[in-house]
Amino acid sequence: MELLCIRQWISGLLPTVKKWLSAWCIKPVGGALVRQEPEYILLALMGSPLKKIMLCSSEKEIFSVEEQVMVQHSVIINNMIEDGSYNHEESKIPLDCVDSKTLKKVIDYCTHHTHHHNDNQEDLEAWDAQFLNVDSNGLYDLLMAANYLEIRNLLDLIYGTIKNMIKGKKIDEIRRIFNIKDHGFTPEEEEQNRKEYPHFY
Amino acid sequence: MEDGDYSIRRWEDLDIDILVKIFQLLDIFELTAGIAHVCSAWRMACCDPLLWKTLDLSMLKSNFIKIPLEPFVYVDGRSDRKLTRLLKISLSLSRQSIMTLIFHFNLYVSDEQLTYTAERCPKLRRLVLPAWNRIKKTGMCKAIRGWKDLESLTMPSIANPPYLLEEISNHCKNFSELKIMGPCDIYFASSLVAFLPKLKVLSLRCSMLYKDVLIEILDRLQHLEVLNISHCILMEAVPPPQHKRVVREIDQSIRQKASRLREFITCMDDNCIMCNRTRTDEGLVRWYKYEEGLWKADEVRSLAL
Repeated sequence: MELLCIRQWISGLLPTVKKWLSAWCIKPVGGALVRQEPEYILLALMGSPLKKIMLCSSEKEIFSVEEQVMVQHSVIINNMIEDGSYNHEESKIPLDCVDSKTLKKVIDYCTHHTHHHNDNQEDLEAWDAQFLNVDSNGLYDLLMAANYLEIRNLLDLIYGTIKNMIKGKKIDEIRRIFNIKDHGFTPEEEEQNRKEYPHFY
Repeated sequence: MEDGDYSIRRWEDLDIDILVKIFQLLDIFELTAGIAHVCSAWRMACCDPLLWKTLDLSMLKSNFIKIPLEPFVYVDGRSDRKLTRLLKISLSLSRQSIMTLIFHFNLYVSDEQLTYTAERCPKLRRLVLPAWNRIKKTGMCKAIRGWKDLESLTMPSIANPPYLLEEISNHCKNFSELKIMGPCDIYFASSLVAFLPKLKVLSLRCSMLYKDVLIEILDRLQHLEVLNISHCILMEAVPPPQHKRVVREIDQSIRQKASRLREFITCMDDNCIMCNRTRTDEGLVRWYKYEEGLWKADEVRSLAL
């Protein structure tokens, strides 16, 4: 029986199974069960717990990652797997606009947040802060990747970080931090702005 | 692994939707502190209507002192200029998309500032007015004339100008919701009936309210759906020597009249903090004495800030 069929069969069973499984209050055992979600437990019982998928960066490097990890975080990847356009046996998902360095970081983020889902808020935030301790180029690449893959919580995290980089700073400093060399205003406009609001610059 | 620096990351070319999402996280001071001057793309994002549906200036108060002559307040020049600057930039970036405008009731907006603002928010639907000691009748009327889509108004303590209601009645055809942060006497109630007969929502919370005024409102405002008289001191006129006395509970006849309303919100509880405060302040609550932002509360959801 093909893996895809099994998955669809499981999805069909899920609503009923979910009900009585959640009554069991199954707790994670060792490192194999990382979430308490019924479908995950059911998959584990079926003998295929940590199914992997392949992601391919723009530099043609292949990254193998747990399917559940990516499905939980990326709407795009979740949709691809749900609608069956991804064949586990053969395919890899090509991500032409994400380079290897960035893809590795994205996978890192998703994996950590799946495996450490039950950590306390402070620890998670500390990890996030460390994770985003990158230069502005790195941040830009992460933003593009998170946007493309539609990873909501990573996007919100990046938005918040950028907001903190902007607020309270003068314009010249913002331009320096974000490497904005061409502001797009005419020389007259720029001069007028500087004259009218000198304290912003 | 290749170093990715062959391509330059152009933050100035960031997708406008992403920029808008980031700018939505900034407060009004941060948003107007020059972000729009960083580059032309950021300027365009700063003008996105999503950022300007509501202009909330309720954290801004005037630096003022009370004086014995009209207009009875003197506002420090720096405080005034700060407001003017903020208004200028906000209104310029908003490109007329503002639909809700919120002022702090202790912000003594000048006549010129109000006129300037009104001209640049023609689509305004909801207004929470500031203190209007410095606003002249002409300025107020001119402002209202420009707000054809106005639906909801919150007024701080009123010097009882029915001209305001008349102006609204003439120019704001969709007007349906009013909150008064001050006493409502029979004169004002009659003006409401005369000029805003189609009023749907009325909040008179935390003030002194005479029983005959309440009855007048219940009888004559036929389209009223929601009435909030929470924490009000309900009074009734009696023969001398007392002249008036506090009504301890809402009687059946009033409840009967109010039964047609969708929501009749009351609170007359000796244990209630707000009821006690209204009593202590004799029907004109001194909001500045209490927790910051207390004045924003209202039991009517659409009026709460």
